Formats: sequence, structure tokens, C-alpha cells
Amino acid sequence: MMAGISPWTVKAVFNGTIPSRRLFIVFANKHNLDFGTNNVARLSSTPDGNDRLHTAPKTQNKPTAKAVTISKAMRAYMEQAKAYDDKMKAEVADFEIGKRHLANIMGEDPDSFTQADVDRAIEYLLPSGLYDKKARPVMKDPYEIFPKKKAAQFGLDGRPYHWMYFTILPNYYSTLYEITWKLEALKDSEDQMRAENRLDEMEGQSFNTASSEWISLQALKTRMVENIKEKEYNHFVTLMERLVSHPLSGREQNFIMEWRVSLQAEELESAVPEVEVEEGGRMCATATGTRKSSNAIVKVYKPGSGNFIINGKDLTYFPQNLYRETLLLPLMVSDLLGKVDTEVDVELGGPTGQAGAIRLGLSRALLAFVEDDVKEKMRLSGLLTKDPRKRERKKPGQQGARRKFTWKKR
Amino acid sequence: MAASIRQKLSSVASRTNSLLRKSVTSIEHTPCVCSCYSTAAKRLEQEPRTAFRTNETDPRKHTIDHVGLYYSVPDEEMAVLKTGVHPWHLRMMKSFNESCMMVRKPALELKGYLDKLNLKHPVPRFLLYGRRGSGKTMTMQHTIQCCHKNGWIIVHVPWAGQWVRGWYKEVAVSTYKPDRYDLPADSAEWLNHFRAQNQGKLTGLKTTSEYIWTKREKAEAGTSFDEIINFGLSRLKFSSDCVGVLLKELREQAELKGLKVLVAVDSVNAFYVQWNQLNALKNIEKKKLQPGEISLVHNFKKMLNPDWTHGVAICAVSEEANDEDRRENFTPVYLLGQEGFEALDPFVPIFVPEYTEKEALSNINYFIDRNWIQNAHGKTDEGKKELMFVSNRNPFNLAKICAQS
Repeated sequence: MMAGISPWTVKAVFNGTIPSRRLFIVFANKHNLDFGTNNVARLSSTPDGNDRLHTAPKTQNKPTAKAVTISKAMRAYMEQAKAYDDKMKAEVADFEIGKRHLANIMGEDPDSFTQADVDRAIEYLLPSGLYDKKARPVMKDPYEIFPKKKAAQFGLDGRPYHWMYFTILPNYYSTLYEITWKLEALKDSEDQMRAENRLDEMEGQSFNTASSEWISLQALKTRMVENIKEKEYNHFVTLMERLVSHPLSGREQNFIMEWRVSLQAEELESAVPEVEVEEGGRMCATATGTRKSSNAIVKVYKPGSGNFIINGKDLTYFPQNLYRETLLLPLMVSDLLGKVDTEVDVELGGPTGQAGAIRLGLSRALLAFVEDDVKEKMRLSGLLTKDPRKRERKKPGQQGARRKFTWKKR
Repeated sequence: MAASIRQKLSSVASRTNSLLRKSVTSIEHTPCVCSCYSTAAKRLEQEPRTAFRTNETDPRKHTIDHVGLYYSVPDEEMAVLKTGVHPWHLRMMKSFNESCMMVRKPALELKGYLDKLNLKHPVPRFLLYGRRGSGKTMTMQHTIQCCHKNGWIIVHVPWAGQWVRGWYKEVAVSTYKPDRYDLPADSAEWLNHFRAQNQGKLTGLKTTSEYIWTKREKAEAGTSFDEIINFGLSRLKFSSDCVGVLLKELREQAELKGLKVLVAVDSVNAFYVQWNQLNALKNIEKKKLQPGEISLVHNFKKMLNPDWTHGVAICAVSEEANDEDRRENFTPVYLLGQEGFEALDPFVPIFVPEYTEKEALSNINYFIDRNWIQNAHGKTDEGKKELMFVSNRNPFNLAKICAQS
């Protein structure tokens, strides 16, 4: 009966209460939605994650003469799953009806009312000035609202599917296991080559770690669908480093790269603006930059004589030297000071924001005219990184963003 | 004498004692104790022939080939210019231990005009304009030196803005006209300045009419200019009137006696634009004074009128003389306003640009030569380029940045 459970039909019941069942509008807040990592393991969406989690042993499907005994844990789990399913069915029905109501309220055709229309209608009917976007009213498919749960880890007979189930972190430990075996294999082949006196072949076979780094703890957690702590993460990295430092590690390149993310260096290639060649063979590259609330469009011409035009003025646009120094840095690092002409359109914000926006745009535009090693140098100087800081809002009951009113006894 | 020198040396030694203790080994010992601790530029016995200098110290002989080069002003001519040079420049010159100025294109342009001038025509007006700190005042100094060499009489206002502002300045009702106001201290200062700039040129100049100061005091026709100046300096109450007398006599006698008069007014827009800040000049009833109501300004405005001959007027407009809300542009029409433009029109505008690359390099090299730039990076080509970029080749800004580093 329950033999062919699909991964998602068996789910834990979500215990939250919903204020309005009719229209299914959830005033979600951050606490409610941020279920992902800490207490509940999420259903993995990656195919390999699913493989690790949910392949039940084939023997499960074989008919047996014996009466099927179901373990207590499995029974409790199945009950929970059924309750969750029923609830979700009701929620989905409510959502569909609510959507039709909404379409009627808005005077549109209920049958062709899409999610985008729903969002627009909610924004119109329940306008909210709340700062946090997650705190604003939403109406969505229940499956997007309610947290998903990890599917059953054991069969009807109570036996876990995974042979490392009792390590609590089966995916994590099986990965470590895999790494160790790969390392052992590499050592074996090294020994063999040593025995056959083919050591010179080993040169150049090691994995190149430049331009990529290990995935973060957070990424590893999501990947494993397990609550991995920092200690375990460090253990994982140590083991991986050991694999990478082996002279033959290049053979396992594909496996290693699964656990590494490329640095920006490769993304740099896509960030390089296209070079237009004007009449007379003058090259021009255009890029944009932002900082705080300012936006800048920077055009760089090469060859040039070092002219700098900002909104139709020269550098006197910035009366203070500090801002001119800000603009100087990309030109210095790329060694193009006095060799290019620059034209800038910048708007909004104050001088700091505008100078920062121009600096970012200029650095991006200059990428078109420099060699690869200079690009890397520019990246390392932080010229290509956007400064994400914004003005912090003022809070009610306070004098400013952080500052409190002067405390007065009474 | 010897004792005082020893005292000086010991004070130098005490100043540098801590330094001595820290790095005794690294100091190179030279015969002269002072020079190895001193950061001051050393005056050389014979100026070396360097790329940024010219040995042509006569401003009359400067040509387009000298543009961007520094020439040193001899001490005797510096004594003439000194009272008119901005204190900031004087301080720099003192630090550099020599008085050097750069030959720049607008000064040569102006010199070219002056050379070919027909003095029998009504006074021509030349107006220097340019951004803040671009060298308008120094261009004017160059021209003044040039004219001084040629024996011109120099009527120079170092900074007209001084006459329309002042916190606790004495303002007296004019003894000549009751609706005008005198600035006794400023007038006396200008008389001194005038005397210093025209040493030896005023002999033989005498007044042509009688001036009655009070019932008992008067200057007969035929009084020498020196006496008028002395009178103004001793009787401050009449100093403004003395200025008026001198200017009037110069205007009248220029043609008769074949004088050559150079009128140089810096920040001339102060004559025509009301200064409205807190330190504006006020009379006893706390009423703000119009520039035209101040007798000094009134008299100098007459010098700029083209109703006399054998003279030249060189003016410069500056943003600082205008109120803060009227400094957006640096062009003469904007800065002078309607009244000023009508009063000076027609004039020959001369744009004083920022340094060219050659001039900026020459300036930086001069600073390096004078030990003003000591940072090792500042002496490299990249450092020089950076200085030029950040200062936007503005002379004043460049000097400011070099002083910081």
C-alpha cells in the first residue's frame, strides 16, 4: 500500500496556524519563513541529493508471505504525512477559490488569472509601507509558503535506507568516505608509478587551486541537507586539502571541482565590456557603476591624453581632492593614467556616492584595455567589487538609525 | 656676533637632540652642522642650468620660448613688488629661499599688447580672468615688474576686496563730500604701498592746483607728490583725500609730462558688486555701504574710466570678491555684474588657463629642487602624473597638495 511513496507526498505536518483560510493571505514574517537551515532539513531539490536520500531498496517491493509489520516510528511518520497531505489539499483548494475571488474583485477573468496578477492585486488592495519585504502581505501557492520536510529515511520495516544512517550525518560522512577512497586510490597509483620508475610522468598532474575556492559552510549544508557544524566543515576542508595536495590530484579534477566555486576571475571574462571602434580607429568601452544612490555611465576612449569630463565639466566637478583621488586609483592600478580619455554621466546622490560610482564604472570600463594579470590585480585591489552599503533607515523611537534620544530622567 | 651664532647652533642642536639619539649612525657628518639637519633649501652660489629655469631675469626679454620656465626676481625689484605680493606667495618665497616666478603665456600676451600700445589713445582696459588659483595675480605681478623696468608709474591695488570689508575697521565720514566714507587706515596703507612701488619715479612731480584741507592747512599748487604722501601719512584723517589728489594729478599730468601710468587692480569686481557678508562695511547708523560710497573705491573707479591718456588699466576679476551665492562662474560678465560690465566695457579679456603639462611638470620639478617635495614617490614619473591629475593642474591646488605630502 505504502510501498511506492514518492519523496514529497510523505511530509511532516506544519503546525502553524493560518489567520485567514478564505483568502489565504499570509502575513509572513522573517521568523516564519526562515526555516531552511537550523531545525528542519529541507527537501533537497538537486537530483543527486534526491538520489542519496530517497532511493528505497528494491527488495521493498517484493511481495512476501509474511504479514507486513510496520514499525512504530514509521506509523507515526505515516500519520503525520497523511495529516500534512490533507491539510495541504485543503489549503490548495482554498488558494484556488481565493484566487478566483480576487480575480472577481479586480474585475478580471478568473481562469486566466496568473500569479503575477495575484501579486499585483495584493499590492493594490493591501498596500503596505513595511520596510522588510518579507513582512508584507503575500498570497502564494501553499507549497511555496509552508516548509517542506525531509522525506522518510527508512522503510516500512523500520530499516534505514542509508548505510550510514546512524552517523546522524549520512551524506556528509559518505562524502568523507568517498574522498578517503579516492585519496587511497591515488596513493596506490603513485606507488605503482614509483615502482615502474615513471615518476617523471607525474609532473603537472596536480590540481591547480588558483581561481577557485572551497564551497562555504552554508553551501555545504544546503548541498548535504544536513545540519553541519563548523567543526565538521573544517574536517571536510582538511580532508579535501589532503586530496588536492597529492601530486596526482589532477585526475580527480571533476570530483574536486564539484566542491569548489570559481573565483571572480572567470566571471571577469563576462564583465569585460565590448570595445567599439570609432572612426579613426579610436576604441571606446562603456560601463556602468553604482555606489549608494548614485549611478554613473562611464565611457573610456583609447588612445587619449588623460582628459576627464564629468557631466560636461572637467575634474573641477569635484572641488575636493579626496574625490579626485578616488578616481585616480583605477587609472593608477591599470597604469593607464594619461593614456585614456574618460567621459562620465553621473546622477543622483552626493559627491562620495558619485565618486564611488564613477570609480566602479571606470574600473569596469578599463577592463577592456588591460591584460589578464592586470585584471586580476584590479580585482584584488577591490576595484571591481561593488560597495553594497546603503544609507540605513531611521527607526521610530530613535533619533537616527542607531542613535537614541538623549536619556532624561524625567 | 659669535655668541649669537653659538646660541642659534645650540638651539638647533637641542631641537634635533632626540633625532640624534635615535639614529646617530645614519647621519652623515659634514663640516657644517646646520646644513645636515636643516630642511631649508640651500641658496646656491651659482644657479645651475636646469630644465625648469631660465637665466633671463629681465621680464622684458621673455619670449614664447621661456613659457613654463622659472626666473628669479632680483632683490631690488622684489623690494618694489613685495608690498603687493600675496602673503601666501611671500611665505612660499621665504621657504624656497629665493623669489622665483614662472613665465606664463597670458603675461607674455599682455606684454605684447603693452609693447605695441599707442599711449595717446584713451586708457585701454585689460581684464584677466580665470579659475581660482590659476595665476591671475602672478600674471599681474609679472606685468608690473615688466612696467617697473620700463620706468612706468605703478598704481597698484593688491586686493580690492579689502576695501569693502572689515570687522572693526574705522569708517569716517568723508571730509570732502558728506555722503562718502573714508577708510583712513587702508588709505594710509595704500599710500605707503604707492611710495614703495614708485621709489625715485615721483621726483619732479608737483601738484597743479591748490588743495585746502582745513581752514588753516592747505597744499599750494606746486607741492611735490612726496609731501602729499607724507601729509596723508601723518594726518590719517586726510589720507583718503590725499589718495584722491594723487590719482587726479596723475590723470591730469600723464599727458602733459609724458608719464606712463600702469593701473593694476586685482579683484576689480569688488568695486561694482555689493559685499553682503557679516563683515561688510557699515557706517555709524549700521547701514551697509555701497562700494561707490567709499571714497577710495570712488577714486579708483575714475582711474578705470577711459577719459584720460598715457595710461593702461589692467584688472583681474576673482570669485572671492563676490558673495558666496554669486561664484558659480568665473567669466567677467558674470562676476562684474551689469554695472561693472557697463563701466569697463569695452575691455580686452585675457584668459589665464590652468597649467599646461609642461608648466605643471616644471612647477613640480621646481618643488623637488627646493626640497618642497621630499617623498620618494613624488619624485618619480608616476608620482608627478598623480599630482597633476589630482590637482587638475591648477597652480594653487598643486602647491597645496605638494605642501600636504
